[in-house]
Amino acid sequence: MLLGLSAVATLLASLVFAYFMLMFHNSEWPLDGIRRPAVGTPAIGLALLVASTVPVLLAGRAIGAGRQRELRLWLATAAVLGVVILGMQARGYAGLGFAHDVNAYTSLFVTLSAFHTINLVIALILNFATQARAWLGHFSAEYHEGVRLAALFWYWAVVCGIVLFATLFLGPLLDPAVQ
Amino acid sequence: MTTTEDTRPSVQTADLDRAWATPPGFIGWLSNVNHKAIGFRFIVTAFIFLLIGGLQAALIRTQLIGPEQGFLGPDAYNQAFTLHGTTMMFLFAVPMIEGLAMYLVPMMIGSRDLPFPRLNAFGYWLYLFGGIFLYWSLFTGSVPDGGWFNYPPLSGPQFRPDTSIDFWLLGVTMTEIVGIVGALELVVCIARHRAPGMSLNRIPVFVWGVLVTSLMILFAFPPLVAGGLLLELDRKIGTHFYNPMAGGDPILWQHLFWIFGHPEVYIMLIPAVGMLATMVPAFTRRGIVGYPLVVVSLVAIGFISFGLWVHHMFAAGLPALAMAFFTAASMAIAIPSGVQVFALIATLWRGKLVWSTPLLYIVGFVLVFVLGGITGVMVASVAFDWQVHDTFFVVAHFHYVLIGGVVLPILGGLHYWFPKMTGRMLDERLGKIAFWLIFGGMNLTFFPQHILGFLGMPRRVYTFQSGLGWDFYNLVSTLGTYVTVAGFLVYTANMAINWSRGRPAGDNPWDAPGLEWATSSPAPAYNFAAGPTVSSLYPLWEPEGAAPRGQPGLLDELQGHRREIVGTTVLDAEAIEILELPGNSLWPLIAALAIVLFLFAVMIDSIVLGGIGLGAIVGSLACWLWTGSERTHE
Repeated sequence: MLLGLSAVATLLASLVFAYFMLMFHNSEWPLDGIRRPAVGTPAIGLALLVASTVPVLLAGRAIGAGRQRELRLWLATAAVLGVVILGMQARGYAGLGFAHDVNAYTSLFVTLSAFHTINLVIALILNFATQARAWLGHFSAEYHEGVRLAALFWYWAVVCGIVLFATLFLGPLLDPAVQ
Repeated sequence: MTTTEDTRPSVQTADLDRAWATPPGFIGWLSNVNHKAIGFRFIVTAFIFLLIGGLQAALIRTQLIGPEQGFLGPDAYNQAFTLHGTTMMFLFAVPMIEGLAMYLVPMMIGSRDLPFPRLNAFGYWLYLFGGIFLYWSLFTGSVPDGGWFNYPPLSGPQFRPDTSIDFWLLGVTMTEIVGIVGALELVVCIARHRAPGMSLNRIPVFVWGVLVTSLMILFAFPPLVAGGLLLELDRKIGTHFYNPMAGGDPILWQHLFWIFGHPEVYIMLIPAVGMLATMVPAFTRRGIVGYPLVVVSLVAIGFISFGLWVHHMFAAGLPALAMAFFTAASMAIAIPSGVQVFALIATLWRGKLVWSTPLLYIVGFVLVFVLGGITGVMVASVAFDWQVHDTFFVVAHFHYVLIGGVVLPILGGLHYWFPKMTGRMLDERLGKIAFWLIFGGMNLTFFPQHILGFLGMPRRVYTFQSGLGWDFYNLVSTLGTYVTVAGFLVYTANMAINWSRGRPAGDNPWDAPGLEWATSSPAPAYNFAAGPTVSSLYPLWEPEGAAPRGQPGLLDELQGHRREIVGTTVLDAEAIEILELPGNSLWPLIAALAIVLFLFAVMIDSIVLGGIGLGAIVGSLACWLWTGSERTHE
């Protein structure tokens, strides 16, 4: 799983590489007079995302000690946070004011954001599957590989969110034209 | 010999046969997940693609046999060299190496199977469909023709609005995913399922090579997947990543492509060298000289190869500092490569040579690869590179590297492990004839191309005019190709004839030291009835009764009625657990078909079909995961 994630992380690194390469390639960034994206709401989303690691961690601890009810509770808490974040992202997309096909900047912004959204959706699907199996009583203190793997992917989605927040919202501040 | 005690009381071979059996009939064949069945399918399919790619090479050379020929014409010529490069790199070299690794690695390290058998089967189906997908373009009339690297803007939406590049992008992306999936599996297998006692310093060199290559694949293939994704988005939904008119940059593709493309060369070379170093003891009757140095240099090549990609872009107008750095790195990689060549030469020098066909391929590798390496150091220099960039000199250089460093080792390896796979020997006389035809033919083909490059003949141009001094060298080069083709025909005929009619091989026809020869040839589905233990690098050459190290006690608990393999620690390979593997399944095939359906929908811009495909992917993966994962018995 970790090896698989390192391949996906390389995919993310390649996309971030593309973003900065094109940013430094252009004398103006964002292009065509588009304003730099506001940091406020995405920062709140990021804080929620980071906070969501706590219930995921606690879910793993609970099943490690054999506490089934706690496992279900913490998994559900994480799922609620995940859905709220997805909702905020959907609102963010709606309020963007540009589409992917305007110029290279908008193409990058939409594609990289979508990459995070897709990872979050997969993390949520895994979370729901784990919840279903938790209700069916598939896990025990000795055997809960499924919980561990779903948690690992959730952490990955969080890491991906942090990296892309830094790239898309803080990255443009590195542009020499800003200083 | 401590490795072949099939007499432990707890294991009944009848139970094992039942637990590892494949259901009869076509459906059973489709659901087979055993590493040898899947590895063998990879090898056969990749070999067929090698023959197809070779045929394209013959077409290309026939067009260039003399000045102003009309055999192919410019369009067909572009398609031929694009498909030749793509087939050889994506559909032959990497799948062939992964197929050999899937087949051989579990046996070489004393395991019964790979740890994720269904993932393995999924990889094969996706590879087969990816190859068919790419070649399907032949029937639609829009065949990819942008070269094996498909640089935009030529491959972008403005200049290639038809579906040719889509076939290429989606087909290649599928084979990239196959590479990643196979790599994951091989890394876990090598790290966690070696026979007890096979500590890091007792791993066969081929297995080391596969480990290094697999780790490289995990970091080299995703950039091309990313690059391909961005290009497909540019082509399909109007993004502007590579469009300079809207702030994009085609050089971005070159970076992403070569960050993949340069490690790719070593991804093919490292296991090929490992193969030779694993075969050479059988033909020199001694161990490889400098085993630790060979392994360390394999690892070093793995790292350095990620710092070379810009040398493919010296003519793209990059900063001088970058070019200086990449020149230095490109020259530095000659050092570990040299260590390996010298280790092979020293082994040959100190050994008692047995001149069987595989040894010819080993010596052929040394000769051809060194020539390719020397021209490689030459083009690493920016000043020289600018002179020969895009000429036939470069074509000659990389064919020497790839034929010497990849094709010859693979041909030798297939000759060497053919008895392992079929229980039959290949004919030595035909084998030697094939070697000399291929070896002579390839030198005749590519040596004159160095001179053509110096004379200024550009690559990828479908014809040339007479009076430039190029006629004679082109003629020789084309005749050499025909000799090579004849060699491949002999090689293939040798396999076809001796597949079922060859001399019976016995279990260890070469008297080789590797663990893969400790079981019968061909091996049963479970490889080893009792888990073997290992106490040296050459387990079959140990004196009778050498004591195994580690704690083999756990092996006695292996059950016969389930598919079980032993889990061992990463460094010292001490047995710590027994894992139960899942059995035959059709879900990998269905998941691969779902992915093909989805990509086909992308291709024809059908949102409905795309939705169905996406749903089918999620559904089949869910069924796959739900139907049981590996279980551990501590």
